[in-house]
Amino acid sequence: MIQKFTKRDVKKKEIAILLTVIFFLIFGYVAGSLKWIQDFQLIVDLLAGIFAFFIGTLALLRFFTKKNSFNYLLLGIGFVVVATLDVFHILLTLNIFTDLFNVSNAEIFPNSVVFSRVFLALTFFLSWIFVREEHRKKSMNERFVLVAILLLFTVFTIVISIFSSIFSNQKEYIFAIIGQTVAMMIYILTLIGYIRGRGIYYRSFDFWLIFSLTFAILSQIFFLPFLNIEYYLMLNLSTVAKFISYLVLLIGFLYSIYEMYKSEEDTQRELTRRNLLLTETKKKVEEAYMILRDEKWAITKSKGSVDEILKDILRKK
Amino acid sequence: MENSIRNIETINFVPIKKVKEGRFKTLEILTILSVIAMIALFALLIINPSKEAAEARNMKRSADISSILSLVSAHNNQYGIIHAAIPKSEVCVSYGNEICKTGSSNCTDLVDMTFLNDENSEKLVVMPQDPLFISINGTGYYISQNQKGYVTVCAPHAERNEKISFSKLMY
Repeated sequence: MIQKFTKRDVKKKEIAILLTVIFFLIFGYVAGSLKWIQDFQLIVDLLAGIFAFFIGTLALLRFFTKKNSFNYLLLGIGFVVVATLDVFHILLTLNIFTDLFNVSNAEIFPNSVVFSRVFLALTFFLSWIFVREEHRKKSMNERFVLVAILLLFTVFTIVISIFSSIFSNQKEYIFAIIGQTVAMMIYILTLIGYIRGRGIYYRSFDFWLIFSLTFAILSQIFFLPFLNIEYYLMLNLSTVAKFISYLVLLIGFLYSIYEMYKSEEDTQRELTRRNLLLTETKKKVEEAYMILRDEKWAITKSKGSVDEILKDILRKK
Repeated sequence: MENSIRNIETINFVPIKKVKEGRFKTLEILTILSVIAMIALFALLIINPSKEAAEARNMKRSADISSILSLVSAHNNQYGIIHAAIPKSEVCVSYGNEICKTGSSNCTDLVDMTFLNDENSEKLVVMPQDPLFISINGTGYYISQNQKGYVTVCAPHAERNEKISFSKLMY
């Protein structure tokens, strides 16, 4: 596969991601004084859910249009499931279909959110495992190493969370903390995998994917109680980061589809150009043939008949 | 390879720019600076000094309005009525409900709390002020009484979206 982007292009993209992260962190620092952020979570959550559904549909569409990448199928399934879970969670929070659902929001929160996020993180990770690198052969060792790190980290997190007193004041959230920490690690490993794959040099979609993964990690960091910010702000900023992550991936998918159609259009244009060239060449060959035939007739006429020409040739010999 | 370079130079008449190795390029420096800034911002969010300071100021506000309410309650216990200077209003933060500073020259449209000073005593009750809100005559704290006999003192300038308001039934 031909390298599409230079090192300079990639560096620019990296800086763009880092600057966006910096702006988000600055926003996170000053958001504590903003009044409107308090009632912001639900609407952003709803938008993120809608975006997730769009991403899922587009990823499935992208997979079934050109069945060349298995990771699109995984991302599609992942996002459709997550969108369903998110919308279900929002409906429970709004309390408008109380007759329809037997459970209340308080009963399933934060476990539903944890399940949805761990599932999405796993989908991302699996998509990296199954992605085919056109420009290099991905060694099996790399996959095994990352899976082993993930397993070790999961065991370590569970042991630390249960047997130490670090989260003793948040005993009811132990499951959520473990789930979110593991999801964060999965995202980090997936990001490492995609960066090591150097796909950003070959595909523009990889840039959007890395961008999205960065904000997914930020979303996890803000969801965990490691930063010195208020609880509601933690949840709100985590939701905003999730929203940005989905939005960026949606843009990536749209751009990827645009690129696909653009390349098809270019191929079509090239085909038309070559057809035209072929027609022109054919016309010229025909013209040359006609000229030759005319010349031949002219010679024939001047010599009298074919027999005379033959006699002429034999005489020469 | 060398020949091809020479050819390009000869054709273009422009010498190829030699890249000096071992030097940082602008983009690389920018990347490193961005990473440092990102780590610094994370550290800032973990420590969050602005939140700590805002919480300390909010604690002062809570203590201030609590002391104002205690003084009003003591006055009520002594005289048996809520003083008429405290405006009647269902909402605490309203025009004319702000408490006037002690020793202020003009308490127009503000609540004058000098009734808390005992006429027979030389002791002066000083009204506390909001730690951030700056006003010539107002303290930044508001007071109101409702029809049920509740007196409410509130601090609308509380930071980080915290609502600080204390109410007490006086009858």
